[in-house]
Amino acid sequence: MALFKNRKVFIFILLVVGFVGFLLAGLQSETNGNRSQTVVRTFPVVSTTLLNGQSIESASSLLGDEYQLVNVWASWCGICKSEHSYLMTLAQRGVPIIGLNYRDQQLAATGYLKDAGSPYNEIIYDPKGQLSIELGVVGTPETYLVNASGEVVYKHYGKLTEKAWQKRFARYFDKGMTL
Amino acid sequence: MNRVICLLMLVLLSPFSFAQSSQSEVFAAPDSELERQVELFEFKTPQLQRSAIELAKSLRCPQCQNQNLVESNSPLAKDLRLIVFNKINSGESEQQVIDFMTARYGEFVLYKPSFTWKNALLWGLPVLLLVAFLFVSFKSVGKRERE
Repeated sequence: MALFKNRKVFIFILLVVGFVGFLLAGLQSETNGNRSQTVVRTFPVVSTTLLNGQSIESASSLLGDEYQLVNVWASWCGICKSEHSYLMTLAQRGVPIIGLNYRDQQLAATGYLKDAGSPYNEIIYDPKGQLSIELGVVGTPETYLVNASGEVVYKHYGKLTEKAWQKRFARYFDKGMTL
Repeated sequence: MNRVICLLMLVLLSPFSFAQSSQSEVFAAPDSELERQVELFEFKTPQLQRSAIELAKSLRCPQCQNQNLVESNSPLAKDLRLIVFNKINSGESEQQVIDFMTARYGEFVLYKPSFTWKNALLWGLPVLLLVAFLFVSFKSVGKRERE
């Protein structure tokens, strides 16, 4: 207590605690930095092909639902494999998911889905990563929340977990779903 | 008879399937075509070449924490390098290329982020601390002299 009799020390401690609190609040809010906010705000309107070989005029024409996930994956990606079972449960709950197959081989990708099952409504095939550059994809897996008008609402880096789902995604899919 | 035919088919087809699996690697490797395009890119003028390479060096590869687009060997970096080269070669300004990159990957790709009110503290704190230090030290020296 002797320390606090010295007013200057007390003020200094208050200042330091305040500053650390300010920094922690900044970290917690997750509004700054590249890992929090998506940079690309609109889903790219470019022609692309699907994994089944069909070519489509505009990737954004796949966005049929009010909100849907766009999941970036590849058969060579280990974390995607561990994420896969969770995507399957989401799909069973009725969440529309569009797959974006990233820098992959067509055979390997179809084989992967044949083995593990497909949670995707549609799968965009992007072997050269052209669409992915437009979307600002950095690595796999990534999950985007996109609405019907092509607006990217949120971007999740890395494996999609139940915790991240509840915090960021669940509220968009509440209606008429057993979540 | 059926079984014999099946077996025959299997034997006949197996070399093909082997050939296929050895061809298809795990990764979709950056194809040699792209590699050639990037490595042997022909600029219109040496001036353009110099500025394009300088620019690519000043942009961080989004995939690999601390390598620029020229150093990195990741397929994404090669694609982006080709885009930068193409854009500069076709006469776009450096600012246009930088805008293209930041529109997709954010300010993260810039080694020197721009000054905004959000990072003002980061830029200004050292100066502020120096000013505060000078102020306090002058004050205390003056006080001691008066005493």
